[in-house]
Amino acid sequence: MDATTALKPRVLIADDAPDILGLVTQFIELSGVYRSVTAKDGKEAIEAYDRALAEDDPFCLMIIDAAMPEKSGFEVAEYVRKGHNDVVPIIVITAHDEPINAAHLSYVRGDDLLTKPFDSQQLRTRMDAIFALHPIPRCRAAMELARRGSHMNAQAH
Amino acid sequence: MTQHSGRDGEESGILARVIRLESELKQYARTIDVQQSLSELTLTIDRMVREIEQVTSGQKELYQTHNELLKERAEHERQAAKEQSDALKQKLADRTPSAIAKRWLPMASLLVIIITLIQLIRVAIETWMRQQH
Repeated sequence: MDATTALKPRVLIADDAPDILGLVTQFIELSGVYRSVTAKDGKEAIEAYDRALAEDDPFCLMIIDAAMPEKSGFEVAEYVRKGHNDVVPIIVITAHDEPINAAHLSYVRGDDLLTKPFDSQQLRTRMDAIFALHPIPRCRAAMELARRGSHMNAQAH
Repeated sequence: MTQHSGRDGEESGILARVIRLESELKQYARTIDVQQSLSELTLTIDRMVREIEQVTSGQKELYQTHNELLKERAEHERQAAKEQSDALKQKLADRTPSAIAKRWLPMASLLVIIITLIQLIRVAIETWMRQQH
C-alpha cells in the first residue's frame, strides 16, 4: 500500500446482495478518494468494525444495508453507537421507502438513509456532504489530502 | 391602678401568643400544602416515568420486530434470488446440445422404429404382390 492509499479514508460497505456490494465498492474505489472494506452480512460488518478499532484504523464512514441476514443494518448501527462511537457517520441503505426506516434510523442515531434504487451521483453527494462536516478531523483531512492526491494523479496521467 | 395595668399586660401577652400561634398555624398549613403539592408532584413524576418506560419498552419492542422482519426479508430475498438463479441455470442447461439430444433421443428412436416398420411392411406387401403376379 503506497502512502497516498494509506491516507485515504476507509469506508465500510455491508450488503448481502453481491451486485449492490460490488457496484458500491466499485464506485468507492473508482472515486480514488476512499478505500473500501466489504462485509456481506451484519455479523461480518460488526467484526470488521471491531477489527478496525483494534488495528487503530477506524472507519471514516459506514454504508450499511438495512435488510441483511445475521444482523440487520440498524442492529449494526446500534452496536456502533452503544460502543459510545458517536462520531463515525452511518448511512443506511433500504430497499423499501417506509416511514419506520427513518424512525428506526433516528432511534439508533444513524446519519442518513438512502433508498434503492439510487445512482452513484446521489451517493457521492451524500458522502461529500458527510465528509465536508466530518466530526473526526483525521477523516476530514484524509479526504482533503486524498482528493488532492487523486487530482494530481489525474493531472499526471 | 397597678392591678389594672397588670391585667392589661397579661391580656396583651395572651394576644401576642395568640397572634404568634395563628402565624405558626398559617405557616404550618402552608408547609402541609407544599408537602401535599410535593407528594402529588412526586406521584405525577413517578407516573410519567412509568409511562416513558412503557413507551421506551414499546419502542424497543417495535424496533426489535423491525430488525427481525428485515432479517427475514433478507433471507427471503436470498432464497428468491437463489431459486431464480437455479431456474436460470436449469434453463441454460436445458439448451445445451447434449440436453436437447437427450430430450429428443427417445422420440427420434421411436420415429426410426416406426419408419423401419413401415419400410418392412412396404417390402412385405411388395414381395407378396410380386408373388401374386
